[in-house]
Amino acid sequence: MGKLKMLKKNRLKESGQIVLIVLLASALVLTVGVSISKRTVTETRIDSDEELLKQAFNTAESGVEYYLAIGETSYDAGNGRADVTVLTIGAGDTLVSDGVVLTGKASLFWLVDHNVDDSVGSNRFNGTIVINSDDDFNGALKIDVFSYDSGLYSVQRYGYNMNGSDIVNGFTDVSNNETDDITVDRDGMLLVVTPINGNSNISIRGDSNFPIQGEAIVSIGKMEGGVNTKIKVENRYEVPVFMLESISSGGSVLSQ
Amino acid sequence: MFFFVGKSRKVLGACSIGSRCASSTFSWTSYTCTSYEDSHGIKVYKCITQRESETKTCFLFHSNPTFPIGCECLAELSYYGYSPCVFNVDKTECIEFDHAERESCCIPRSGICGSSAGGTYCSKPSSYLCDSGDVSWINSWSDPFIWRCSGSCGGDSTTCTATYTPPTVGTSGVCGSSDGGIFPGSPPSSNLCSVGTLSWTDDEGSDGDYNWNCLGTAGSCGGASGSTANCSALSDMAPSLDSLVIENNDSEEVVVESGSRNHICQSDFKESSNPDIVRFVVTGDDMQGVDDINTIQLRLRPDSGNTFTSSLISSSNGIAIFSIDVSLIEDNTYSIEVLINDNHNPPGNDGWIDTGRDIKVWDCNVVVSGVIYDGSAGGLFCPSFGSDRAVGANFTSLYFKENGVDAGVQNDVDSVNISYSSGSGQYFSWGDNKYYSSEFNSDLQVDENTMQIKLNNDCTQPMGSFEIESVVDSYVVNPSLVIDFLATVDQEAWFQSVDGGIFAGSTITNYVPITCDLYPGCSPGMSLRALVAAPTLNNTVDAYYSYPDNWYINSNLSSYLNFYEQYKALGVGENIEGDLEGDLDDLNNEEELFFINGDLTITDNNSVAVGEFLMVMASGDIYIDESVTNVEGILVGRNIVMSGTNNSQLVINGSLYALENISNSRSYIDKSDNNSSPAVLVNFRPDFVFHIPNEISQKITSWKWGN
Repeated sequence: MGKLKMLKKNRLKESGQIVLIVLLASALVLTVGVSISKRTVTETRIDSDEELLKQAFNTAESGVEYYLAIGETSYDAGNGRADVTVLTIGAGDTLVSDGVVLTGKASLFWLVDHNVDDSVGSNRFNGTIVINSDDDFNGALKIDVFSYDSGLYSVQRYGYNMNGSDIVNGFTDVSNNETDDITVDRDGMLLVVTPINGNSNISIRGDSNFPIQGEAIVSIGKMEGGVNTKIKVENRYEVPVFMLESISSGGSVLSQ
Repeated sequence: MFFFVGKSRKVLGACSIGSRCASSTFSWTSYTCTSYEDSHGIKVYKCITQRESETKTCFLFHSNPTFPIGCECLAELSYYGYSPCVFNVDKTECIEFDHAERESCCIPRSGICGSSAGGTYCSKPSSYLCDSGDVSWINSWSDPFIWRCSGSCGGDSTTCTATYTPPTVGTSGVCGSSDGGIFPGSPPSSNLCSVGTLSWTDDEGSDGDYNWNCLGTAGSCGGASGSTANCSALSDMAPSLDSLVIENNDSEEVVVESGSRNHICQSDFKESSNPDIVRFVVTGDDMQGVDDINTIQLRLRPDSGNTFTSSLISSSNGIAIFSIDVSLIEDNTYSIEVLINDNHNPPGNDGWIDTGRDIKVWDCNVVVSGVIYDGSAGGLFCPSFGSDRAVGANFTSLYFKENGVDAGVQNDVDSVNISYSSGSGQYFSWGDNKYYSSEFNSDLQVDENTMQIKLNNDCTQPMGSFEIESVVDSYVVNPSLVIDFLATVDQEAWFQSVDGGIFAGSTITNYVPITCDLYPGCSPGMSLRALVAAPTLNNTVDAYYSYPDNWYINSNLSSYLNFYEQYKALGVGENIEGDLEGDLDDLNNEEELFFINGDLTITDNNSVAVGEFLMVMASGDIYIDESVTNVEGILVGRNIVMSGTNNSQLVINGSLYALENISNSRSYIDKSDNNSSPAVLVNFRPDFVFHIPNEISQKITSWKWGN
């Protein structure tokens, strides 16, 4: 996961220079001859499209940044523009991880909504949740359910050895890729799923809808000349992983 | 004798005694007839001539024509000699022979056996052996007797025999089946003699028995007569034992214990007015009634050693009571025996009767010894204490309190071998029914609350109040007591996390004491309700890594990321250059996130309310001083160190992250506190997760590009 980079300002001058070069190249082609001119015109058109693509990508990125900064979904780049569409992530009764979750890495599924300022909201999930791994996942899932009830924050932890793997001592053994029903009855805030001893896609299914996990920002950069580029950015809420446990050390933890 | 074979003979008749007889031959002589008896007893006549100065026998006549063979008759001979004559064949007359001829004049006659022949004799017969002839013995010593009667005048000898019968002894008398019987009231009338002739000697039995003889038969040939059997039957029975009751000096019965025995240290004796006195109440029984019981005697007989024998005591109604001071008897286990005498003898008594009861006399002293074993490794339970001694327990003294007071049994302690034994003159007294407790030296470094005790391998006695009577066998030789202890040497410090896992990239070492499980409120696990994960995990044998489900995995789930650098680059929070030492509450309350470019030493407690947030990230190490007992917040550093000692627990409400290592050697000052409590407790604060400053709440950016 990388940081969001700050985009540079538009490059109008560069696009104008490109047009000029194209015209000159066209003239040269006409002077040389018909057979040559046809190929030259083609090469010139390819070079021109690449540059526009780059400009369109930059414009799309700028569109995302502009939305994140200002909240506007339309960005004018001079020789082009970016149209931003914002989609919510989640909000249904099934959530999936953003691709394969690596072993030891936490995948967060919010059970509470967030405010506009990204602070934690107040609509919390209550119900049952079932968690699935890949069918061929032979590891274990560490599951942490954070809740908030009557002013008290709490965490309930579960563990499952998936597909009969028997990976973690003491975890519940399941013979397939689905956990038991996990009951969240104390205003769930956050569900954290960490695969152990293997990588897997993670999906969770509840008996009611989950809150929004974040937003997907789709930005299409459109340049004059008809060159377009679309990018999609997902914006999810995360916490430092070491905050999910009591004691963590890159080396050793010793009492003596 | 002359034997002449007669050729012609002149017959001479017999002469009458005194008559003159003349010889036809010699006329010049006159003969006088005389007679004599010859050696055979035959009267022999002869004419004796007397010629002037000579007396000559001239011939013989036999009066009886019957005479033994070989008899010789002498005829008259000239005075120059004899002219023998012989008898005629049938020996009726004497025939003169010509003296010139030598002719036999004996009539051969065979020997004739006497009347003894054919008889039966015990020894050789001495008379009537031969009616004719001389006796000569051939066999006079065995059966048959054989002798010869010689013939005469050349007659044959005759062999005579008689039967020899050796001497025989007469048959001895044998008592009948009534012999030895008991016939109270009247003598036996049958089955008196199975052999022999009955001869009564006492058929009244007033002295307690009837007597008779069975006479043997006479012998033969001089053999001895058979012996006489003396027989008797009882007209009375010896008394028997009816019961034996043992009492203490207060005449209270002391009930017999298992194995039909008692011993002097029983409380029944000890609590009596004189614990040394044992009363033996012996009751006899007699078919003739208890009045037929005379005296009774008691003895105490050991298998080896001296026997104590009482004096005779006259019984009253068959009862005799023996009051014995056993302090005068040497320590031993005795069989109790009695001798009950009848008024009459016989029957007298049946000898020493074993009552089937034993009594042990001893001093009631029970010596004690034992060991303190080390149960620190866990998994040991009475009676299996293992073999490891609690070295390091600092064991220096032990005495056993009696009934909660200080007076008790002092012991000699071997501090090297962690053992002890009764001091000189120190012992338990069996039968006092006291309760004891163990008093160790005050600085004994074991968890006395979880100590286990074993008395002679018995595990039922409580540690703080045990009694010895139920575990010490008073009947063995030299009763003794072994009291062993199993103790957990004070545990080393340990830490625990609550509701939060413990992850390490390399090793987690944390020895959860086995004593924790024995204390209410102590949950035995490195972590409560969370996962413990590291490639190497070190814990007490059989102790949980995570309680209650023992979640653990030997795998690295930790992140090796320099979060200090990562988050500082965000340009958020407050930066502090250089080492910082002090109280976290002293930090800028407006800020929630601090970056310390150096080491952090926390010297005092702080607090962070729910809903608030505090995270301190140090580029260097974080130290928590031993004086600190409460830290709240999230601490991130290169190394985190908690050391020293304190009477109180260090509680950290939050989370710890170290890029390298977390060292948690902090301990309680009183090491025994480690037995029941972690010196450092880290309580996970889930509220911190939801109060992270927005600046560091990471937002995943997933880029996808396409037309």
